[in-house]
Amino acid sequence: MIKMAKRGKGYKFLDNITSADVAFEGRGESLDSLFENCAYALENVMINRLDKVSADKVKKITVKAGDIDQLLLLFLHEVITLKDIERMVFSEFKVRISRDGDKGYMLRCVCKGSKIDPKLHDTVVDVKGISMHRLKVEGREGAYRAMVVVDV
Amino acid sequence: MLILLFMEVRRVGDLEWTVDKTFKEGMKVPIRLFGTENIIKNLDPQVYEQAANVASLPGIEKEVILMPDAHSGYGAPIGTVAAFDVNNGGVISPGMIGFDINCSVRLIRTNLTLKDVKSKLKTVVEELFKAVPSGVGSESKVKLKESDFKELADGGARWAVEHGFGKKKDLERIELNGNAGWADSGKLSKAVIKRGLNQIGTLGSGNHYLEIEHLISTNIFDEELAKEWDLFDDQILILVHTGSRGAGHQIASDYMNSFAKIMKSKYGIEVPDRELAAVPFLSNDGQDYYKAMGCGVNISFANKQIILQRVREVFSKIFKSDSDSLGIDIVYDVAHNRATLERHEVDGEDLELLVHRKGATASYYPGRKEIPALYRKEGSPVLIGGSMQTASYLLVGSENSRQTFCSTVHGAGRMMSRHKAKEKYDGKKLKDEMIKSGIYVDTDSLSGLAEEAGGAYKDVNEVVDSVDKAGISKKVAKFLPLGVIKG
Repeated sequence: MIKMAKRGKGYKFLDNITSADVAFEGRGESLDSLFENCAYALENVMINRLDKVSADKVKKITVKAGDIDQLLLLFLHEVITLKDIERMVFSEFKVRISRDGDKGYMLRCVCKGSKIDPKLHDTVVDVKGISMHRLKVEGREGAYRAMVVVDV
Repeated sequence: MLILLFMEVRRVGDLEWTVDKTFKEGMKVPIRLFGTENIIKNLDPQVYEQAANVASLPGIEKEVILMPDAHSGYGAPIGTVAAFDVNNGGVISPGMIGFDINCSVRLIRTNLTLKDVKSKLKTVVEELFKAVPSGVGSESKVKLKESDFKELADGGARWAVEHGFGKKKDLERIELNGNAGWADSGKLSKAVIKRGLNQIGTLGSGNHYLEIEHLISTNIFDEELAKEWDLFDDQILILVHTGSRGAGHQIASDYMNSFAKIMKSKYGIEVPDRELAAVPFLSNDGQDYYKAMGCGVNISFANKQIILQRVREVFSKIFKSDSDSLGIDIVYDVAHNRATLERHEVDGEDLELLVHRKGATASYYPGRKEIPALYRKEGSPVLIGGSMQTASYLLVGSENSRQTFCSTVHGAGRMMSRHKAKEKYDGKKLKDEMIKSGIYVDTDSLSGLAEEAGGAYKDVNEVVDSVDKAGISKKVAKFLPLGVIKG
């Protein structure tokens, strides 16, 4: 089943990639929406019902990378780092990806969410990192997809 | 001989199998597997492909060893042992160690019996659940400054004991005596320290747990050794499974990314999978990671010392006695994600090897100098955690571990994806069933609990019997869960 995120074409969890960890496929009409949907999927690994996470605190992420796969890896890694360091979980992501001269890509994201509260949030499993294993962004404008394996 | 996917897996002993180095181009050594025919037949094919990639790394010695609980991972399979000759270009590879550096199991004994605990079990589990932060986004109750955290990363369990978390005698009962002496916190990034500061003394989630265990006489396989290690019939024990948390993961990520960028240009090393990024151990880059990895080991040791302190406090409060009178002491603490510098004999030659164990536990035969003095005569204790609904084991390293660079299995291993388990099991129902069957459980997350259902794991007994029969490590005792704390 494809879960519909707020924008783009959502994501789905994949059963046959890893048994110990969690794999998902994100989709999006643009790279921006693909990255947003991957971030929603990542949060959804850790928290059921993201609609119950209020969007009252704002954090900003900026990352640069030479290629698009690495950009996704670094972006999702920052989302995890904000969870570990500031105990933040997000229910809204607004991503803007641009070319960083001829050096690659730059991503800016505005993330809205709140501090994790087990009384309010239906937590599932903690994510420690994003694996490079099978990480791949594919497609073209109108139909992008990415495979992501997260280490729990 | 088994023919699997156009590949020959040759039987070379009752429980030993081999795949020749002709299996894949670039392999420098063969693959050796341990397990029953059933286990070998059911290994996922990616395991062979990944093990063959490991067999192609510079300086690899003798063979890549796969344990009966092997399953495919990232870069290298979980359940792999690989040793590299450091004086002959041998490498160090973060992906061959695992991201949760020093992920480990600690067994804690008590003088208590089931009669003492039964009526208070619910209170014990609930109080431990309150005292040890667990689950997504849990927050450390130990407030440290960055400079303190660096001292902790250099000192490990020793730092913890010096700061009131545990007793000096604890250090005698932890491998490496609770301190990776080669650690250097100067090699850690700011992100490691920031992630670590907020998580020290927390359990984590996923397959990490704190359990109350029960030992009965029919589950004692080596009475003499059990007695020597202060174990007895009807005893209550505590098992902790956790590691270096986000800090360890950050160390592995930092160095894997850095190695991926420099290994070819600086050292001429090309690897078949980017998750196997590696550099020569004796290079400056290799030494930097080794020292940072040592910090990961120490963070894990300190983490469990803090948890032990909480266990002692909770039991003292509930049983109205001090922890020494209650006999709350470590039996042993042993890792299954680490690389250690050791000497082993290969083809009659005594070599200095960096032994990478990823999802594999050290299992030293008697007399090895790596074993803490207290246990050296008998062999190193080995701890194997099962799922939350099944048994866990204590074993001891035995003579045949010479064949495996002194290594053995680490656990049951999952066979069902988390997503599938969540669909198959209902967390609330599972919790009720466990309580009905005599296992009291407390958790941050019912969904997380469903993901960890016993049915999602392989049979730990078959895995343990394989290494026992192969003489790599021998069974001492088996424990059954009475209480479970899950993040």
